Amino acid sequence: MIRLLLSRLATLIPTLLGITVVAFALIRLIPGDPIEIMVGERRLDPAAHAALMTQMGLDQPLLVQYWAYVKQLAHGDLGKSLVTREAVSAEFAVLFPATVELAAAALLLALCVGLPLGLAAALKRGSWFDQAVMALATVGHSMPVFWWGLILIMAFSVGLEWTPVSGRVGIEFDIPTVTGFMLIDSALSDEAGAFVSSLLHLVLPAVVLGTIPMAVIARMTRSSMLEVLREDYMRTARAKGLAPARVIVVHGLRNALIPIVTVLGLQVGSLLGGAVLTETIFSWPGIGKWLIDAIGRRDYPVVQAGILVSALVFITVNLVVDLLYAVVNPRLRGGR
Amino acid sequence: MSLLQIRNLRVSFSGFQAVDGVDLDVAEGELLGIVGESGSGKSVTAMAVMGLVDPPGIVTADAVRFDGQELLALSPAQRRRIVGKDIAMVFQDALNSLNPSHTVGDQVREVLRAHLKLRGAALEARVLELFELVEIPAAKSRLSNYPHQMSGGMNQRVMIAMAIACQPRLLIADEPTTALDVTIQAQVMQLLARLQREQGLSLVLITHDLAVVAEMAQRVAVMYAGQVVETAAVDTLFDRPRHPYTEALLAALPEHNRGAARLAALPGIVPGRHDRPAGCLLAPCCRYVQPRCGAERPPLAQGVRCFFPVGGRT
Amino acid sequence: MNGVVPADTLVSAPPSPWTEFRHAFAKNHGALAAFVVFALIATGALLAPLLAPHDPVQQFRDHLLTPPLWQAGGMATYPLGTDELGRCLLSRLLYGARVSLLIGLCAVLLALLPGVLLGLLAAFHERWLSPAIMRLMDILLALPGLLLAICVITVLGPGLVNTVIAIAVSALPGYVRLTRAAALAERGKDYVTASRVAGAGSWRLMFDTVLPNCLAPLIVNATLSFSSAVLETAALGFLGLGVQPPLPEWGSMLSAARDYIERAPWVVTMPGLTILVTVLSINLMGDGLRDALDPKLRSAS
Repeated sequence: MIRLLLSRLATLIPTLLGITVVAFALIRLIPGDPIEIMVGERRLDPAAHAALMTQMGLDQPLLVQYWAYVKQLAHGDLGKSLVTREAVSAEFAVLFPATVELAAAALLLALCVGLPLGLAAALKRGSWFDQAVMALATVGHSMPVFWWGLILIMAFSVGLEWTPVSGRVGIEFDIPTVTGFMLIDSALSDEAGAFVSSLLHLVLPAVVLGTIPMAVIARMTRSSMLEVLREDYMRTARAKGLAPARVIVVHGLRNALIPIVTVLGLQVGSLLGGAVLTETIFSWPGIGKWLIDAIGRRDYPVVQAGILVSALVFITVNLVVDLLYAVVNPRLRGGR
Repeated sequence: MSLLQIRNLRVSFSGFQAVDGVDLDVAEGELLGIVGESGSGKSVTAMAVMGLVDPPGIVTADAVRFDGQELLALSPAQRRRIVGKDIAMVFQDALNSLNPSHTVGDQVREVLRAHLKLRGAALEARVLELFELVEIPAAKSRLSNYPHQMSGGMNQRVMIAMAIACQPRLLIADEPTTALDVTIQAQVMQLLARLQREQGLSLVLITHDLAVVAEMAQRVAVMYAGQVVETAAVDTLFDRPRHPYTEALLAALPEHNRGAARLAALPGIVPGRHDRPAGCLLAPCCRYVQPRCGAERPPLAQGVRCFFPVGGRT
Repeated sequence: MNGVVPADTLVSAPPSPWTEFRHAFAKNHGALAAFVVFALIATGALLAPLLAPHDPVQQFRDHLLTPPLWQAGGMATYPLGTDELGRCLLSRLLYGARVSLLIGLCAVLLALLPGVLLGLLAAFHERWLSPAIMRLMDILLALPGLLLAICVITVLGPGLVNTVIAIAVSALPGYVRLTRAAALAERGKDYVTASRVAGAGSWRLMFDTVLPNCLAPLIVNATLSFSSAVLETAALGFLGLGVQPPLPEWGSMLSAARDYIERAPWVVTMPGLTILVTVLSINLMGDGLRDALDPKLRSAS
């Protein structure tokens, strides 16, 4: 296992370096004067321009600039926002937990709904239930996330007035930040009804974001389970006189989950992309919305940081999924 | 009274009659060999006894009695108390028949926990004892192995250990050595024979290998196209086969064809789904066929299912 | 001897692969229905100038936010109603179909052709090219699809052509990996060795021998990435990063409609429904193709 971890990390290094190169190159690839782009001001007089060039080290060879950038990153310095003039890393630290909370809720929902539905569909293969689940899954998989969000807002927020339209918690509440996760913070605060409010605010965005992963997981669980049900070891398990529930879960599902773990990594990627859209619709203050706003405002240091961090998160998640896969599939762990 | 009594077992899959009226008896402590080619229904018969036939398969019988109890009349829960405990089965491809995600030790522990409710030290002791009984070397360290880490022969021994774990009265082995190397085959066969003697269990050995049956079995049942066509003591069967199919089977053995230019083979193919004869199922291929054979189905009488057995009726 | 079946009275000659495929595809009712729906949409897109009742960018100031035909206040002149600037929704949807399908097609081709080439190269030159190509793809894959597209747009700026490039870039690694995996699998087979022994050079091996046998998964993937491309185009349009006004695009239509959820829900439902139906039909076709082309996958469903 350790060997696996180390070998994975080894292939990771060049990829990480590649990401930093991309992030570094991002700003410099944009057509236009780099100073104007990086400082956000136009028509600087030549003296100020030259001074800024030296100050920002832009007159140095590219390799030196890159090295400076990497050193900067290593210190956790992600630059300053052109709009707020604040350190990007500080803003990021506030917004990141919001996205994590949303993504985690969405993934949890996707697993808790998708897995059982896929399992039941496989067990009742060919029945109307199976066909209905598959039909829903296909529709869910084809759903434009941003439209789905708007439709649900129309139905539940505007029509039924069950859920709020935006934000993480009702504006009437003032929740001190402890963990950054609104559900926890609101529960910890002594404001009555804060937890419920934060829950209500989370429900719709989580459902919207989790719909595509839910559909994919349901389909995958079903097809994986169908394959497993045909395996010889299922017959052996029944020949041992074990209870049907045990045969299905301990023998069947245990092996069916193996391919599903590989899909999880991709789903997190889909969540990251979907988070951008979902946060925009629900005005959820996370890094997705931050990124889009920054692009619109040409706040390039923020965009650069956002891309870098997203890539980092995605790579880390994939690494974790790879390791999880080895845990779940004994055939990968070495031995004969 | 026999330990296992099967009368008129029929199994069909969407109209295809895989088992077409099988009658069988297995006595206590007996080693019965069931021989037949692929498609003769021998495996399906075993599955039907174990309760492993799923829809769309339909299982009917006049009787499937184990130790006096009618198996088909039991509820699924009642049947599960017997299967794996009093009747056990060993399958052909051990590697694929074992769960790849559980250690072999855990898979044996599972059946002990479920049926004998063993726990803790008693459980560990029994698992180790079983592994040693099936002659797995370095048994203790093997317990935490996964099936893919062991050879085919080892895996088959694990399957046998799982099957005899609760000291069954009847063990069904479906082609237990077909997937193994020739040298390992002999070892596993000897193991099975030894276990049968020592534990006093009845063993039903399903195989297409006549040589194995000749060596090990006490009685033999020959199956063709879903029916038992002849049953006899092993010596009798090999010396004086009475059913034309048995005769043809023996005649096709290489040992009986020394010096011949071609192996004596039975012409035609086993009737499948669409071409089942109205009369005797062997009639289209039988060299002794008479008009009556095409019209009526012969019953299993005096151990042979034929109107005109070879050598006449005794 | 009686009852023996003579060897030459066999079944008729086996059907050609094309006939087999057509039968398998047609048996799948969902795929067939999807094909019909998609054909309708594609026809609508092609014939938009003929079918659209109005110019999609023309604003009818007197008829802002008219409801569709079947609702109170609707009129036949604007069958699906008008948007907040008085533009005919049906016309915009039809012209929007042109944009989406065109971008989708171009993006798929732009990703497919280099992707297959790179994948084949990686499969056949395992020592040098393969690690280099795969590392490059790993970098591209470090960002999930939509984010990568956003990244490209940030550098290139928004617009139709840039949208095609952005989506193609995010789809490229998928093709490379798929082709490489399929080609590697084929490369080990005997018919390739036979060709090589007969003297076929590298290029000939790649394109003549191996590629035709990798087509099935490629076709399926191309169909599914076509639907992804349509979704991504709409997503980028929704975020304001894709196709720019006044060019009608389904996603950007939705973005503008956000403020009118209560007052004029049809401006929200119509474009979104169109996106959903289009993507759904392409996905169902892709599923049908996969089931028909790859028997191994077929049995699992």
